[in-house]
Amino acid sequence: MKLAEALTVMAKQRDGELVITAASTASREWYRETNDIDATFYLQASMGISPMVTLALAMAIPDATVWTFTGDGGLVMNPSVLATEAQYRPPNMRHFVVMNRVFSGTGKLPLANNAELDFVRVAEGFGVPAECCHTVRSVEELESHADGILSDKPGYALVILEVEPATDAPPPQPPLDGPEMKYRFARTIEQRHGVKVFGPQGV
Amino acid sequence: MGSSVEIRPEVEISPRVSLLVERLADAEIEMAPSLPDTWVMDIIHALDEDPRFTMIMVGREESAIGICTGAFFGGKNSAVIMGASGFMACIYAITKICYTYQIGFPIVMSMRGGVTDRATHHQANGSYLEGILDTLGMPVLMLNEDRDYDHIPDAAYHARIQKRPAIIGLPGRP
Repeated sequence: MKLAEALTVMAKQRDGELVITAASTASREWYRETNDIDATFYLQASMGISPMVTLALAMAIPDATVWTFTGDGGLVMNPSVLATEAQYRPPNMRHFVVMNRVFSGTGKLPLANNAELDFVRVAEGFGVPAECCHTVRSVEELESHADGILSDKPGYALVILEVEPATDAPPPQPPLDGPEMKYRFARTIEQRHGVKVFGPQGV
Repeated sequence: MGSSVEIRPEVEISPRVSLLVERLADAEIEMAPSLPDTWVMDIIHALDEDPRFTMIMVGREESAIGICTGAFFGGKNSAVIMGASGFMACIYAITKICYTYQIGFPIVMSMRGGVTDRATHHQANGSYLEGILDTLGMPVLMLNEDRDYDHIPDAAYHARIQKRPAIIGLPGRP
């Protein structure tokens, strides 16, 4: 399965979910697929941290379904996020791991022991229940989750997307710098969910 | 939710720990991602026991930076509780997230390695911690006296104005 194909399915199924991407090719591919610069926060250049941003956001706004993408390189860097996720398992959080087994942005060099990596076993070892863990290897398999993990039905899920390393040049980054991303995303949350992110002084 | 193994924490809730918790409540802190060292462990336990707060134990301090970022977007005030070594370990997260996206929140932190700290394993913090804070231009509120605790809400708001973390520094175990 190509990552672009998977994201096409996900973008089609998306119905208002907030998305937090990570420092990975998923960030660029998601932007190419959706051109979304309002309800997606592109947390670039901070590997392995997007799940924690998502966890807190999901806990803070229970009526918002929040998706996050992590690269497998980022998750190897900070696997203990799974222990914290396992403890809270917000029903409105979905954690998608892009598993291409290489460092896509840096020469497609292989992750350590990449053939053996099994994040489902890692997750279960950190206490994520088996029924919350899903491995998806094809577009058809992903589409079969349309009424489940790709919907707003409650239920924390960790989804491993097994994808081929990309062969094309990476698409461009979203044309925003950090502060603009912050304000766009925060104002979208304020409008959609009635949350006050900024106070009366605009901070 | 996941389960916790029942172990009795070996902590001490001193008057200053209670004072700090009250001032965090005054600052409307709701989420407190934490990872202990010996100077902040009592604070973390006190927050965990207090229904006004959601103390979230993380595995690495950079995860706490992520949690505070998510809390920010969720309209919730938050504060990191961690040790000096943990701060050093998450400079990557702080600069890549807080400084890139201009998101500020308070960090309650042990200022290890100072002149009165006899722990040899904090030699590196003694040599570099203050210099790094200075290099990052990070504001610091030191809790040297009881009256300093009254400024905790100010420090929390200052972090939002400055759009970078503000350190609430502990010169010792409170």
